Amino acid sequence: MTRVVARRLIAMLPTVIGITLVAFVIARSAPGDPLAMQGDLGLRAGGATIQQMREYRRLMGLDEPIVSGYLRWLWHLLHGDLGSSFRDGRPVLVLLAEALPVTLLLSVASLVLGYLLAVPVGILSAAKPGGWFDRASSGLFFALYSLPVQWVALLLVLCPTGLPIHGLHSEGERGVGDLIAHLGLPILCLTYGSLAVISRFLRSSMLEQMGQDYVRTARAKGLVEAVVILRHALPNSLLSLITLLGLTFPALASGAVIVERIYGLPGIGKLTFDAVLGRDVPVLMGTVTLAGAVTMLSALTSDLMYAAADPRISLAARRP
Amino acid sequence: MKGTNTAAARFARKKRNLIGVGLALALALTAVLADFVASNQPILLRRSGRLYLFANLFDHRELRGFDGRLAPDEWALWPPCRHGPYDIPALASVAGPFPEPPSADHLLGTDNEGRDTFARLVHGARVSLGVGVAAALAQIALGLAFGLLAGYLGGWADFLIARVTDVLLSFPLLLLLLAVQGILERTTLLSTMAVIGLTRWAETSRLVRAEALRVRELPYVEASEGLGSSKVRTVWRHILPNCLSPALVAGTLGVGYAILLESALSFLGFGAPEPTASWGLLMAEGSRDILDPAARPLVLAPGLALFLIVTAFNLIGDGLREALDPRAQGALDPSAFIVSDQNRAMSPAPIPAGGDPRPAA
Repeated sequence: MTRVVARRLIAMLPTVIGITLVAFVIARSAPGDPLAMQGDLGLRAGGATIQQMREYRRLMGLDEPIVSGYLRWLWHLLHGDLGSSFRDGRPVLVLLAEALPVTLLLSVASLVLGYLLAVPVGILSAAKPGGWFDRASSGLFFALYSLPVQWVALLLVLCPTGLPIHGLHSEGERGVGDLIAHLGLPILCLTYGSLAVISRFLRSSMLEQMGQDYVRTARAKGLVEAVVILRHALPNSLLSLITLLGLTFPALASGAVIVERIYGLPGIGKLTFDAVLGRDVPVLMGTVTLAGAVTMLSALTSDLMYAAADPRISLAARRP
Repeated sequence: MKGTNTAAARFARKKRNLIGVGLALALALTAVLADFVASNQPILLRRSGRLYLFANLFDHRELRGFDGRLAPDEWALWPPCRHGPYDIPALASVAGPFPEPPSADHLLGTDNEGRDTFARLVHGARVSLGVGVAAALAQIALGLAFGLLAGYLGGWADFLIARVTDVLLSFPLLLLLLAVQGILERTTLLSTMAVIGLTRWAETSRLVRAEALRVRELPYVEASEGLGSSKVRTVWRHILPNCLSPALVAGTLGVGYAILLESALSFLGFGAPEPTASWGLLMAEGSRDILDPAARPLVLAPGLALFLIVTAFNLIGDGLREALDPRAQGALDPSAFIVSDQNRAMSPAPIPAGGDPRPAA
């Protein structure tokens, strides 16, 4: 297993280089010429003084030719030095460390909720494909799938749900219950769209399993249909859901940009938005790199989990 | 027609596919005829002895100051809504504080600057469909080009393209687009179109590559190569036609997704610039005074329009997939939500992770 993990990590190296290169090129292309920052742009640049920006660009290699500049920024990255925010001078690494838990909490909670809702629906749909439940649920989920997230988020703000609509905590509160209440609506916004994907994926995977010989055998020996489905077909289908797990993160992070903005949650999405708004290049570079890295790691994790859970799969199966 | 089993017949047999097509056509018609639904100039006008045809489409210098008041012997044929998407009322005629609630004059009320929401909504269909279709065309073209290159040539081309798609698929798309748009000196509709179109081809290219890999091993391709056709001819005549269906399906679903991305970017303020009549911008404006009931239509109407248009393209794309590939279960395109490694999400059957789908030579 260690060799497998090592091999996968090495195979990821080009992707890591690509991700960091993209972040570097974005930062390099940002208007860094003090003259370009006059007027409107200068105002948008928040608290950054021209001196500060020059210093940063020199330090991070943004002024150098692209290859040596990139190597210099990579060097800083490997040492955990991402520079400081133009806005308030705080280290980017600290800002990222503060924001990441919020987005992770949102994502994980919405993943769990999504699976809790969609898995039973997928099972029931597969039990009677084409039945009324199958058609009604797939119709409903299909409609949810097409709803723009900013619309749903705003509608939920308008609905008298009684739940708080801004921030992580109420004034003077620090309790867990308060936090959960504040995250309720945002989590809902991030969850509804994935229901269709998960339930349909599970349904088609279940239907495929139901056509297998071992299911026929289970039926032939006289098992109740519910047992056939839950004990025989389901476990194999659930395995394939693991692959979906790691692949959902980028979608969640995209949604989080909007949801965090509307509900005022201090996560990676809001950090990115504020960085773009204030032309805070160091922070922007940090969030782009982090988002790419987390996505890649979540894909890796789900691959490894899949391999660990399903003995038929071997990550080392690649032919020489 | 009964008994025919072409893809078109299979597509037309499902009612929901036809609903999707109907919805898409209705919205396309709205976009094309926006000036006939909402305009501050009449379609047909008889004024000071002259007959003006389509004053709503063409700018007549004599009509610039025309405010709609007519002498007894003059007449005009107006569009149903007598406001343009950019009309800001003159100070003298201001009815009340903005945004105004819906009234007989303003069907859906106005925005913060007194512009008619209905007119902006109707003209917004152009922005959404324009961005959606343009981005989807770019997605199909780039996806086909890179997918065919990778699948048919293999080797270095395949390796390079695979790494680029890996990187592209490693970013949460909205976050990446926001970052790219954010460093531009100012965002335009064209830049929005371009960044969406240029980042969405990776998934398509993988689908096309897989299909090209499958097809290039088939006997008829070998036969054609044996008969001496050039590489270009083999790709163009034998491999490309097989790859069109996955690209078409991905492209159709891509229209809906691109429309959502544009509205999200515009909502955040980094897509279509003011005063474009973009649905995302309308919602952003409505969200600013979200607690004011008069601003509700600004949030509700564009969202509903977005929902309808995205549903339409998702229905069509899903129907096309089923019709073009009868084996498929009609699984939703996971690409809209998910970045799939090796396209495993497309098929529930376990495929060795990291395994090469290329048949062993």
